[in-house]
Amino acid sequence: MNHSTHVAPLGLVLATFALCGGCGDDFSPYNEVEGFRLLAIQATPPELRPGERVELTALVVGDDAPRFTWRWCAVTRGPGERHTCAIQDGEIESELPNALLSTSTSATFAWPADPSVTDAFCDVAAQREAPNGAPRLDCASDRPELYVRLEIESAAGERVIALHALPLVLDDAPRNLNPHLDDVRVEVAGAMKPIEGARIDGEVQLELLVPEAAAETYGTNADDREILRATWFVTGGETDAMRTVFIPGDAAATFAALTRNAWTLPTAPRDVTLYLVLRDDRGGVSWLVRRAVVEGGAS
Amino acid sequence: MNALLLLLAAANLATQAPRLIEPAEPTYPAQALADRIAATVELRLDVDVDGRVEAVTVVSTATVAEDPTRVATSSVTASFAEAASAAARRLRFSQAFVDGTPVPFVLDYTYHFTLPPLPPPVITRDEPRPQAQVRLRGVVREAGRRKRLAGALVTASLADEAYEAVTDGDGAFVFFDLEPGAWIVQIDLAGYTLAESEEEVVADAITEVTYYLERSDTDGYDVIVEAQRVQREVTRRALATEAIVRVPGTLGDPVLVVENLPGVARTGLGGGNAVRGSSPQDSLTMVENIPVLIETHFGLRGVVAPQLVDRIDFVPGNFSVRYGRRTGGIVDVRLKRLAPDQVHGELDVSMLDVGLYVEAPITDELAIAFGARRSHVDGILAALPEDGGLRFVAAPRYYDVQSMISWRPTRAHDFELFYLGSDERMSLLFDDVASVDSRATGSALESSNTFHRVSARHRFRPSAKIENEALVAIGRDDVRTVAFGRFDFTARLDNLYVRDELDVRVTKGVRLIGGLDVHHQVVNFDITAPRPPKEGQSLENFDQATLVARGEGLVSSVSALYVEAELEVVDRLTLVPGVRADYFSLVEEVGFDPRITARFAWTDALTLRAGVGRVHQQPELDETVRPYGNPNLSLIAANHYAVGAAYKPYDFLSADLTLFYKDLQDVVAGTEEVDVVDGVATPRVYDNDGRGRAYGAEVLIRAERHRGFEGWLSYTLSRAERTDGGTGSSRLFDYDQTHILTMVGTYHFGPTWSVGARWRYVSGRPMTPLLGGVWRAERDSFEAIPGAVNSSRLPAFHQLDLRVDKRWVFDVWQLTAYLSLSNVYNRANAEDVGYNYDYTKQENVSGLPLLPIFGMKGQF
Repeated sequence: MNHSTHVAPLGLVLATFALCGGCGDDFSPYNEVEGFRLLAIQATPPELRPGERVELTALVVGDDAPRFTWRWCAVTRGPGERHTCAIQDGEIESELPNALLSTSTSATFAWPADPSVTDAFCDVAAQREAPNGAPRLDCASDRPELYVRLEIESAAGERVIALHALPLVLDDAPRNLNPHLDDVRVEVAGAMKPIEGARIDGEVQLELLVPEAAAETYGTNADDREILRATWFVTGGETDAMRTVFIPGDAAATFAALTRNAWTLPTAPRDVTLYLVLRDDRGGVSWLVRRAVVEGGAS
Repeated sequence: MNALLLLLAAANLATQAPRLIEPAEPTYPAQALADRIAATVELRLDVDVDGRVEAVTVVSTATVAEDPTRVATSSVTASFAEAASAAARRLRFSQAFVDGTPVPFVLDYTYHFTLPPLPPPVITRDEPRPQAQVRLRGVVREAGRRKRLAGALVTASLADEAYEAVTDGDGAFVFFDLEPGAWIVQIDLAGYTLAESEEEVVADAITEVTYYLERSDTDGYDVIVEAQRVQREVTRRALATEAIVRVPGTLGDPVLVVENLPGVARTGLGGGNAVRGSSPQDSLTMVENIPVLIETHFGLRGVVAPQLVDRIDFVPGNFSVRYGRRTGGIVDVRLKRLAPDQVHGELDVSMLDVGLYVEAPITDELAIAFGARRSHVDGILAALPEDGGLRFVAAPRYYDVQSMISWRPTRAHDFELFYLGSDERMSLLFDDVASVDSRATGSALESSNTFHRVSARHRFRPSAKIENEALVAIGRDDVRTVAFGRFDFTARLDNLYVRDELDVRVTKGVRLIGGLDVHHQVVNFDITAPRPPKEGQSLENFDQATLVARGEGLVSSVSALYVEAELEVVDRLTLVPGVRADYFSLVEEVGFDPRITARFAWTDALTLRAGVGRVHQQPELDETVRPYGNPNLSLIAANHYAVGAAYKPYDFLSADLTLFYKDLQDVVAGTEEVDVVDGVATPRVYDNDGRGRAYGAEVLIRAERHRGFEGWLSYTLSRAERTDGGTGSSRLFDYDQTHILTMVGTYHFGPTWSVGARWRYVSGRPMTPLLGGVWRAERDSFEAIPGAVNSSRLPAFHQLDLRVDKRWVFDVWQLTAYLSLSNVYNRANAEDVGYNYDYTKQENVSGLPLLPIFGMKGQF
């Protein structure tokens, strides 16, 4: 009889709304930075190729001297086991890079040029049980994703575990670059000015200065253009949009929509910081940090 | 088994004679009336198990002329027989039971055509007139429905004179030779309020009148919540539409009342019926044996017009072999057989939607009906100011269309053509989509479900002992969901249904039923989406990796043969053994399902029942298609066991207890195993290593209308568990709800006022706690870390709903106003748990607050 095919899309709709973690009115918004937070991990270049290396850095807020523990993971165990590193557990023999990349604020990750290393790596990964039903390393793809696991613990004992997916590019696809960011400007007395050091109040308009070329075109199809997403982290007040996005061809997510936001500032005088993180959908990340002064007094 | 043996050991006999519940008066043949000829027509009626007259045989027709010098012609005699036969086909009887089993029966029935009285002897007149003259004539009808009322006593009086007439089959009456003057006319008919009117009769003219009588009871509906119909199951609950249209919280929709019955768990926002420890997709909702894509719109409305529904059959387990392919329950929406005496219609306007229904006779053999409904929530939302960057391109809306043509050319043949179409859709555009989904590649969220069904049905009853019903239906389902550019689920399913069932009464006490049941489905799909979360997976904890699958012309065909016997073994004991075999082409397996139930009528008031049976169900389609699933999955099996007792100490009060146990085998469960397919490591995704069980007790205490009150109490105590493959440990099932209590009651303050209430208490459903999150840098969001599956619970749910109905009856139509109040004391019932962005804080997500819905309904 019927296959209840409606259940699947219904589940998708519900799941879509479930993606909105932190959307409840009683929770602090995702982009409100109140203390120790890891806001971004940047790989330069944003993708790894055999015989090449990437530099990894992180944008961390709220702790002057965080203790970083860096580990890379060939295949992880999935979220139920906090993405335990396979190599750390000795499950993959190494002609591969060392599991422990670094214990400082940055790390370097190199991949051997020898194709047999990649093949051996994929063979081992294929034998692993698939967390949540899917292998973490899809070697059938031209861009399998390696995972870098970053664990940071603050001086106060707060801890965050993060994963960063690092594409391992095995074909000759055009290289990706981290998106270029110029600045963020704020409207003061009817004019747009650099936000760094600006004295602002009430609700202000923000403008992200980013060249349209930051959304790179890749592939042979002219429609193959990157999606850009900006996350507007603030240490006080709230922004109209937590994130803004440019989606090529989408009427509601134009490039102009990516660059504009509004910021309702706290009423009391204080310093506030804006952490603007810009991501493309191929792993590229850039950020800038700007500080301003809230004069206070506005309702 | 001991209980079953006990049942088999005893014997008794339960027989219940039929009674006439819908009389029908014949039309007095005009020529016979003019000729002043009376008659008596003796008929023999073949009545089916539902109390409908299937065949009429004229045994004799005797005529008597008022004038002894006259003799009725053959045509006049034939006209009496025709009138009587036509009326007899409209008769409706209650079911007849033998050994507790409803049976067809043959009944002798006599119509007496009695001449209306001639005017009294003209002793009050100065000069006798040679021929009677009509002075006052009219028709008596039921107010609001315009139904012609036969058998009403009409009395006309003036001073010391009084004359009487009785309305004929058309509700007509006539008085001859009344003196001019102001006559007082009284109309009296059992079940109706006595009416009185003053009529001015003038010389040499005919005064024509129409009287409308108001029913003296509430509205004349038969109220049956649990009927002993063709009871081949341990528990079958048949809901007559009239009994449930005023159940609070259901907006008068019969399909929604099922959730108030024992064995059905609350599914909250998900919709559907979770029956005895099975997921909603493991139960099947059908309309006249035809599966439909969706049974309700957003849990608010059923897809079939209530006016077309005769009853809802709900079987929570131990099905007859007529049903199969589902390990949960069966809901079958049974449509009425059209027999309108005249054009009837209804317009229902509420804050939610507008519904229209019309039915009409075309000829004596042909009748049609049409129904349609459309929501207007979208119009209301469109009028509201935009909020939070969310725009409704197409707000949630639904519409349904049904039409039916019924043709009964002879008493043995009954043809029916039925169309059902339904559509629901929603389209949202987010200005701030990136804040909702950090990986969105589009701003739109759209969802639509559309289906059509066209069926042709033929019932053939050559004799009282043989009946065959053949059904052919085609249908198309279109399903589409697009979410933020990341998910795109498009599927089209073309369906063919063929069903034939032969019912033969071999001898007294032996009845055989055999049938063929085929569902052929061709599926086209184009999917870019993650695997949907399955039972045991929370929405925050399923693999969101986007997969792609396309398929054209995927055939899934299920064909079944079944046979069942009803055997009156000894007095009061009936056994119903049966077997069903389904071939499932998707998994290329045969499900062989033997089943048996036993009924023992201990006393006239107490019946014991028991049953055991096996059912098979194929995996969901998405579970069998790579990369979403595993094409090597097998059938899922379940064994159903139940014992029960029904006790009816009074006509208006009954109680029913059922103990059930369900053993689920080869349940589809997630696995992390990897297979090598064509040299490529491929996730197995699912296997059949899951198991499950559900057990519990169900109680239904029902009060039929008595002294103005009607209602029921439904209680289920149960536990449902699953063992996922590989884990070896048992966990709670998603819809395990220990206590489910529903109390429904309606009090009728009089013919036109009623107030109803429903109160529900349900244990909170199990939840999987989330222990925190891992930040996914490239997604800019946290991924939840789940705890033990379903190891915590939401708080208990309880809610009070009210409904008030007020009816105004006019001569040719009636108007009903109703107010439905859901969640009267505005309890914030937890339907889910919401988390902050890193899953370190949580809060309950509440269901709907106090929600009033007002509506008006006009009927004619």
